[in-house]
Amino acid sequence: MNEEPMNFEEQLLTRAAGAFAYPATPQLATAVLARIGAGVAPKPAVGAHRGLAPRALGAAALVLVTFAAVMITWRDAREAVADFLGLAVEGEQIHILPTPVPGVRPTAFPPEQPLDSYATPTTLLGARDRGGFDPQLPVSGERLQGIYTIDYAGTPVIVVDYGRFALWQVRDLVVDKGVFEKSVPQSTPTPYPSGPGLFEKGLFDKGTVRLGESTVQGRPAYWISGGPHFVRFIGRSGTPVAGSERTVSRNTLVWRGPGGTNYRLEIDGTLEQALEIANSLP
Amino acid sequence: MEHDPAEQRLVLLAQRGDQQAFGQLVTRYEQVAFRAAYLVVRERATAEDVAQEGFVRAYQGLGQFRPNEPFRPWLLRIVTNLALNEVRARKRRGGLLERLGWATATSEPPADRAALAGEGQQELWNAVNELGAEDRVVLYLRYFLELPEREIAFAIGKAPGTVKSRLSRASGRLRGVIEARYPSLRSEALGGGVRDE
Repeated sequence: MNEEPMNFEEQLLTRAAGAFAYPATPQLATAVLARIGAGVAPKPAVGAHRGLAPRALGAAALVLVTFAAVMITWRDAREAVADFLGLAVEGEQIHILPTPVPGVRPTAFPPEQPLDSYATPTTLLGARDRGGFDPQLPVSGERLQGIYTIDYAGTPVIVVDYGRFALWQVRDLVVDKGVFEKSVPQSTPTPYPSGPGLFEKGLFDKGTVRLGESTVQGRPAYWISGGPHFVRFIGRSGTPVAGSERTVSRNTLVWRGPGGTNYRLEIDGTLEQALEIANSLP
Repeated sequence: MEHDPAEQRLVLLAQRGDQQAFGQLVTRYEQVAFRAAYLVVRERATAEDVAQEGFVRAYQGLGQFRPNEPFRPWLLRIVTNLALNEVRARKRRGGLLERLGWATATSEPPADRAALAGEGQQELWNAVNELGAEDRVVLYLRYFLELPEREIAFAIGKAPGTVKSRLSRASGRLRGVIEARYPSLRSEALGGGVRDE
């Protein structure tokens, strides 16, 4: 590796690397291809949209940099962000991204991925078999368009899709809410650059996104509206369920229903419409 | 940098939506991706999740990838960033649990003893864990995954000319930790005839 004589620490590292016993490498191709899903192509290259894209990107960058500057310097804005942190129902955390720190260039907010790009279509029976519980169907004037399952590293999630809204259902993500109060720091300094596909330093528009409290059948619920936001599931051990982070551009109602079922209703509609659907569940 | 025409072809096909071509890239690089993740997170299941997520995000980001560049370090950049994020999240959670009196926070994931061959390696691992994330990653890439410096540069998103100095700084800091906390490691290495500076 290096023609120069090695220092003792380099020698130790080389020796340790040679003796290091890695676990057997898992075969990832099948799982990766299943997640990628059929018919979904990578996002086009930026350069493929000459003319509009550079200007649009420049404008977006300007907005982001301006917003970052406001967030960094405006104390009230930072505190407003902090107000969002840690709000969650048991088993589901609403993840508002941390305030960017000086010198860190924010990356763009990731777009929402279409459901059928990573979820597996199935039937009610198939969903029950894979999910281990009976999916609940709300009463609404909408027609059921599809049932999907997603396996987040052993945590099955069922999604019933009605087009205008989709109801996510997951069981047994039992977490004490208190654990997550203020669990996300206001700023997360990171010396590491963001890479393609990463969005740790993304931003949401506090000017448009709103978080409100409500109830579904007497149980606490949260209503996020007005713009893109992250949601993710939290597992029994208190750790986020790997891969469950999701950008939602529609409005979202989250609550914990009876029997340990967590619901997330993503809807093009108002809170009243969402509550009507949510309260129709058994 | 050497360029692999077969890899370039697979990348081009994958960019056009050929998932089987991307599957071949996964098969080709799943070991190095998994190992990179494992070195950082030190848990097999988490490393598998991280590696898998890294490939999915690489696929989603293929449009921004230039096929005339090497795929492996680009992938490793994604994977190591994800792994570091996981470690940071774990650290935050550990700190919170400790404040609540529910658990003792650990600053780093526990080393998988099954992966270590002896007490000396455990001490070296402890010493490495005392380094910052950037230092650890650059050492893993160089000594454990044996990437050439130019690929390390791609992987950490820095200019190729800075890799040598980054490696030097990281190993220098490791030397300082060893001399201060684990002097027996130094004696052990010197006993093997290693040059001392």
